[in-house]
Amino acid sequence: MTTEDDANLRALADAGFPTGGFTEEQRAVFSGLTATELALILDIKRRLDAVEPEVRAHSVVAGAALF
Amino acid sequence: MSGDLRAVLDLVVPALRRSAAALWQPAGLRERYGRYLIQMHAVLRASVPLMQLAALRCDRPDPVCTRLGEYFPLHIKEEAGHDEWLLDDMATMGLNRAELPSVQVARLTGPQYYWINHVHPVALLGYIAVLEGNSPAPELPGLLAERTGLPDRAFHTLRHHATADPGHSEEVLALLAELDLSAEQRRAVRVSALHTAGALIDLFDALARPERTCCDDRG
Repeated sequence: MTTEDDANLRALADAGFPTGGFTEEQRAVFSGLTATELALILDIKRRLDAVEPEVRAHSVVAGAALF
Repeated sequence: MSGDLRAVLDLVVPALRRSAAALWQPAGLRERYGRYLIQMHAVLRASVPLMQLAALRCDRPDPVCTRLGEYFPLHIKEEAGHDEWLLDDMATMGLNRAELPSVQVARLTGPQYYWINHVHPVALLGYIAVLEGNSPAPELPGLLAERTGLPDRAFHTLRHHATADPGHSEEVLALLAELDLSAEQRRAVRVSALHTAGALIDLFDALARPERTCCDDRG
């Protein structure tokens, strides 16, 4: 658990995002997210955390190959 | 609004890149690259129709729509025909378009039709920002050619977008920074972008699964 006062920031911190390093601008954006937006972000983070670390390590090299 | 979109996307892009990275593992890559092309064709053939619809829905007295009415026709010109390029790349591998694209593609593109028609055409910029903001790394076509043994012409579309799309991504973010969006419109763009990221992860994860629960619809 974290010491974040804002519920959205607390949820992000609990999910493993480094909220302590966020800028004031980022904190303002994340504090204002709706429940829908927050749920979408947390769902994606859960899927990332479920992946093997070596796969994550290679992900920067190739980009996401979208267009 | 591009600052808040960038902030939100920074949280989810690592997961998107991780999903894409799983596609390029050496084992089974040649066959998987073919399935990737088929699905990307299904995605890409919706790009111009989505922008055409958004431009059509911008036929209203609305300052945001006035600016979008300038952007979409220009971007349609930039993207027109790229789905045909993918068909050419696929032909080098003996592949045809999917007769019935995967449900993952429908879940990715389908909501955009809804948001354009029933919320606001500006929502489509969230979708475009995710797709064009996550273009192939310049070294990817060469890496894939080496790992698959496929000829260069199988990577034409990938190579083009590795070069062109970083500029397109900046264009859409600059446009978002310029637009004076309402709070509801900003939310629509962010939700569109976040949904797009999640749906792309679903698509990539399905493509990466060896049991081929998705995307086994070769023509």
